[in-house]
Amino acid sequence: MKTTLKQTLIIIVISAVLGIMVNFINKDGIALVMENTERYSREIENTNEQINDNQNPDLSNLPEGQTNQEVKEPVKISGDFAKQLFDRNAVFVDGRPSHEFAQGHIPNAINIPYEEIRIKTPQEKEQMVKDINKNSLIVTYCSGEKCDISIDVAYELFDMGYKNVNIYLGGLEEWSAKGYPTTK
Amino acid sequence: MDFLRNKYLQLVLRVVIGGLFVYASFDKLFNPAGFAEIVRSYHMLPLSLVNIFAIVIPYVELVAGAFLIFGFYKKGSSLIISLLLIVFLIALIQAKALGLENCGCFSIDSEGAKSDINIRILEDIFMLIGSLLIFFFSEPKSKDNLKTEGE
Repeated sequence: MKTTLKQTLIIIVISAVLGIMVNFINKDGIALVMENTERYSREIENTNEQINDNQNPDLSNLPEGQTNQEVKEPVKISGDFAKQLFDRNAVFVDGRPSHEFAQGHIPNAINIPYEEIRIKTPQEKEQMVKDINKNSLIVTYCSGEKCDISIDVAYELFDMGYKNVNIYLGGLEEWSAKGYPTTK
Repeated sequence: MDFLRNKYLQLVLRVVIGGLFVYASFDKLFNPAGFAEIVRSYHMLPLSLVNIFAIVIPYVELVAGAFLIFGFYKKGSSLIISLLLIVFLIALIQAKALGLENCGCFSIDSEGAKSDINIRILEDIFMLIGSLLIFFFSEPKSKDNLKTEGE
């Protein structure tokens, strides 16, 4: 029994040293402790909260593809409101991995895979979003209600200075179910 | 119960289970960020432990799997693999209860994530039985055990 425990411990120590070393060398390596802990837990708690205001927004005053300059936290929006924003040429950001994006997405959506952007340096992040104006009206989404990377991407963009970020929690599933257009 | 100690049965079990663990580790080894996201999506660990878990666990799978294939530290590696399989089983059952199975968005490998969760639970149980058979019935008198005992 003692031998077994000793072997177990040796295997775990070898693996831990190897894992941490490779992670340190690997250019795609991650921090040993996940960042933004507070924000994540807050978001997870709020995931089931009711979809926010703006059910019947007055869009008449908005300039094309643009909104007021006030900085506000990302807002969760309904499918119908997402469609209205779509018709107003809002920038849709798809947070899923690129191979899933390639299988179908909302027309003109920009693919910013969360698993990629979250590990980039601030300069690389700016490079990834260089085509999106900081004042643009943005809607993030992922596959549907069971995923939360739409929230993660929204906060990633918000932290980078985007002033009007909306989260479409219904995602592609609800979008397609409502018969709204998609493309490949 | 003597057939359970049969060295060919034990060899097949070790190569199959060790091989599956080595194979399963590859996808996660070089994509710690992707794997960390999956771990996080299960909501089973405190967030402060998610990354270190995602960094170390694939290497535990790789090392324990490789040791099992080569028959090195059989008791230790089969114990670790059994414990991992129990943890995975709990995670899978919880994921089923949470309804995570239809969402490919957390996965580095969306095909894998979309595969039927019941089948994965069954696979897990079979592998757990196999690795427990190795743990309890593997030949104790192999070289590595003698060496370890002699230390």
